[in-house]
Amino acid sequence: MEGLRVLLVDDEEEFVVTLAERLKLRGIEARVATDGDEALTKVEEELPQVVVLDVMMPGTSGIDVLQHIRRRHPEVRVILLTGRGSTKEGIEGMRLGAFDFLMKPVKIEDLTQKLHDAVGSEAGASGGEGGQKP
Amino acid sequence: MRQQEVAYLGRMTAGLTHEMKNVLATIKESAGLMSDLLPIHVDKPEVLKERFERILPSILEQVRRGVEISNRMSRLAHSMDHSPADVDVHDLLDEVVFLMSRFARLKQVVLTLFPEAARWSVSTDPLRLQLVMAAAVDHCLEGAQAGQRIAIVPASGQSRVLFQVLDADQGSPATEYRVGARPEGLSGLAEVLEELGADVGVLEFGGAVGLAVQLPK
Repeated sequence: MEGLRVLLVDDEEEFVVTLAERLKLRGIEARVATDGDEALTKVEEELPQVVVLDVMMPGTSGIDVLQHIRRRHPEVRVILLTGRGSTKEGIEGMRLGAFDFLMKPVKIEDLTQKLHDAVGSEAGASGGEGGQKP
Repeated sequence: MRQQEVAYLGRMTAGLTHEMKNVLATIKESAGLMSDLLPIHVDKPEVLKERFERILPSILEQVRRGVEISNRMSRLAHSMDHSPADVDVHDLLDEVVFLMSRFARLKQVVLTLFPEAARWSVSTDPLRLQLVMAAAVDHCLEGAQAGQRIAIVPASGQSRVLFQVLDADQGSPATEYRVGARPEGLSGLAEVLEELGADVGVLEFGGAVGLAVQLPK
């Protein structure tokens, strides 16, 4: 996974900056955005391979960002982060084209595995529905 | 307990537990980072010390935030202990501002409480009064734009609480206003308002969105 480019999007800045540092220690090039608008700008500028996206954010929501990415850059995989205690929100996100989802708090091993899976499936990405089961 | 009250409690509890998950997620990543750094810098204690001294305050801040959320959850739960009860209006509004701030933040709107110097109490049902105040905030949020704020102004002399949507550069709430009829959007509160002996009316001040909640004296 050396050189994998990931954009982490969450309005909890302390959380997302720390998570980015942990991913960098694992050889993953992780950038950070703290709202939906910043995420959309960074997707356009940096074209990450995977976007890890909080669902609930002020302003442009995670679902809005997901739909924008699916329209404009279907090759970019999106993994949703949900703070809800059930899988309902994540499954709904996958119906809208997310590759997969994780529930907060995340296990770093689970996240890196899902990033790996997402990039592994990149070749097969054609802009359709997300393909992984949680 | 009626369905409206159950729905209110559910919504508030969901919001608070979501916030708590953010707190725990941040603590988990901070602790995880410390764990990651230990083997990397095992021969450089000064580097570890410098890094840990930066991470630890963040953990302590998240613990403080978690304790605050727990206290608010506890107060929400205990608001049902007695009815009627003497309710300090400022304390109640402070609870409502905390509980509703998350929903305001998602709309990029700020809630600002303008407390009066004197304390003011009413004998009423604490949960139902809180529900009415939260509904007033919701109503104002529907009419507010990103960047605006909602001023919450207790007016003990009139047994009212005023809710005014203000632009970011509008420093003080309006003092000249007229209270109109109950807005249609809040007609579902009729029964609760009747039980409380309270009322809600549109606050007319310079064409902006606002509400006045009339409390029982």
